[in-house]
Amino acid sequence: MSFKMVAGLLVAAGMATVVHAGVKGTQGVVVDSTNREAYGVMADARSDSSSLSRITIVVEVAPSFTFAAVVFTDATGNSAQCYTMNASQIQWLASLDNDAYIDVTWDTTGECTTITTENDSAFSPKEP
Amino acid sequence: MRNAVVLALVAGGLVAGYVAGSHGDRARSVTTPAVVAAHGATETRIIHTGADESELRAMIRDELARAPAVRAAPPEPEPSAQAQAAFETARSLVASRIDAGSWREADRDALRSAIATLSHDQFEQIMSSLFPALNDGRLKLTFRGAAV
Repeated sequence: MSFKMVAGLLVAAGMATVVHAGVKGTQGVVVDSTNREAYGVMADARSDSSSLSRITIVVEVAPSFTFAAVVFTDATGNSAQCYTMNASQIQWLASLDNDAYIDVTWDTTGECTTITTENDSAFSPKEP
Repeated sequence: MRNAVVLALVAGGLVAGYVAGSHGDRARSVTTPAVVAAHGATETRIIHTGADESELRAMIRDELARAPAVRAAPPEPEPSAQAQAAFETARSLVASRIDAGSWREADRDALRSAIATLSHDQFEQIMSSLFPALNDGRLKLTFRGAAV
């Protein structure tokens, strides 16, 4: 009896279940302009039902400087962005996992003050 | 606390040198593993020399006076004429777009062309003008993606 036949019989008998256990969570893009903070999970920004949600990280290396910018756009189109010329922050952003959670705060000049990232098994991987 | 530790390290080093130079026969040193562990390769010694506090202070003053002055980071060189022209272009672009209230993809591309030759300080000036305007709504992005 082939594997397919066994599997088919188990499914038919209600004996085969696909288990997706483990903690799962989602965090869409949040832009809090009042407190100058934005955050979200990259994968959840992509899978959001809104066509506007997005998190973008740009790193540019120019002859005299290197900088990075992080841009958040929430489901309603509100956006916020901050930039950094801090080498440690730039390195951190450049190496960020593509499905990570990212939280940034910025000052009145638009410069990122804190950048918090988190990788968690609860986060979804990006899907098409 | 950090200053205190640094002072202790300086004092330790100076006293060690002082003792080794002229009072070695009277010295007894004790290595402090905790401090060594906290400061990596720096070894700190506590020396019992018999010198009183005022003598120690005098030794530290003398040693510091002989130490080379701590040099500040060199100032950024004057921007080239090309960088200055690019800076004026970028500054003018951002100012005019803030007046217009929108930041278009063509503006981003123009800014990208200009900023490549900017100095670090010039770039920071442009960004600290552009980003607050984007975040407080004076500038509306008319395209998706990064403004720069």
